[in-house]
Amino acid sequence: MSQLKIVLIDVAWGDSIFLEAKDNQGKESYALIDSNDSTNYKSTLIFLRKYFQKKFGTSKIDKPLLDWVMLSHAHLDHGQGLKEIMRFFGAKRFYYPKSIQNSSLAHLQHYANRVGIIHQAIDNNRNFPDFGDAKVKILWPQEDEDLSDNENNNSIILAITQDNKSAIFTGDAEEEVWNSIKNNIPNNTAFFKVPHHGSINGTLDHSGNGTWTTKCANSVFLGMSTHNRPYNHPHQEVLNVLNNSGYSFARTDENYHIEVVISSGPLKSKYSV
Amino acid sequence: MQELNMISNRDNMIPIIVDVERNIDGHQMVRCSYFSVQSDEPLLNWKINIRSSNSPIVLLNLEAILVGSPSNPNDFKTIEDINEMYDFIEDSNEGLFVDINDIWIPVEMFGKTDIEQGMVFRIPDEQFILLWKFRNDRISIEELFSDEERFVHKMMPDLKQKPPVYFSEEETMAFQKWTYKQIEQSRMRYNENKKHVLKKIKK
Repeated sequence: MSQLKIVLIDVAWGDSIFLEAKDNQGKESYALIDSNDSTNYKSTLIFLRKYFQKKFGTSKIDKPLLDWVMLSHAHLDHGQGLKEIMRFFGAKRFYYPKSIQNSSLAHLQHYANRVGIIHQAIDNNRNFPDFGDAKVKILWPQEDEDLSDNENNNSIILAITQDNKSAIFTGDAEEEVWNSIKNNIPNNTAFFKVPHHGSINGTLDHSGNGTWTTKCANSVFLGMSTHNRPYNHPHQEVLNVLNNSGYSFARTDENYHIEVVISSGPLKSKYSV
Repeated sequence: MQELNMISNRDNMIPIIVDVERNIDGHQMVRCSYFSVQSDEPLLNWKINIRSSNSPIVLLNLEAILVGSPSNPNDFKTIEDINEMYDFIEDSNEGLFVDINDIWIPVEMFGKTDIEQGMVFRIPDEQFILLWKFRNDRISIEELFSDEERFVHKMMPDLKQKPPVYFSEEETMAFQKWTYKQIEQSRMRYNENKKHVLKKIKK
């Protein structure tokens, strides 16, 4: 049975999302969106090492293991550590958004050029290949949209659809982006990553009303990659809106790694409580 | 045999590149990147050299912060200096590589108010280490800001006369040019790999 597994890895600060697809033939594919590993906190690297050691029964890696690695946007809490992860596991493709000239993105492009990983900036006019049996659609950035000075608003927003249920990955996109594309959130959305770690500008407009929440049914399960330091992420006002709207959600600071499996049956979620 | 020499140098100024400015728990701070040498394999056949004595060692992990290139140890003046930093470390085939880490710096430590992404500054190693401890949870934000001995005397010794974090225009230019070069090379690779890249939906 084909399925899509999503793990919001608890990286304490920032985003890191592991994706595993199994197609109808049982073939598995792996991908990663973002990491925030530093020399002293290699949360994603360690998670993936343990995950694959358990899965394969060996620490040997048959490179390249990752079908693709994606940088949602060029901020350090989403991009640092990706070089070591690509070194360790190997990656066939590396994707990133159109961004303003940015040295941390250049650091990754330098690596990809050096070792021959195929890489490119992507937008909503690119045909993304299936991931296992899941369809991948880029909702943002739009091809004809000018680059934003606010790098959060250059975030890649992806819809991955498995068995007629979509999972939406949102980077740190803010109000301006949601005003443009909230009507494009698929009706069959089953999982939605709360943007920008649950900050006010990722979910609420200037009047304090929900943005994407108006187009996302409250039956959708939400996942939140939070910030463990006092940083107001998630912000209490956002939590109030989510709670008052009746959403179910899990957050990495309270629920550790958040796993969601989408298949032909009901969506399954697993996390610590 | 590789050598790791312990040289006492109080004048190290660490290059940092601005990523983003944020308010953290009421304090306006700037997240910056810095370059480190790391290893993903144990490093054999090294020796440590301290005060003219040395001893063989096996390095299992390494984080060594880079302050310059072999040709220009205290500055990145050109694209070539930045390339040399990568080549010097990564062409050694010793399992070494250059990666980036982040550090948070209070905005008042900067000698500029118009701080923008991509600007290169230099910070003295003593202040860097204190901020590194904060980033790596050795000290709390409360300790960082409330401890007068630490924050005022150690981090801002003569703030009014000379800010501890100074803007490096030449290095900012060098990194901007280097970043642009990576974009150019990426475009070249994209064109070389056109049959493998994601195609446009609408022509």
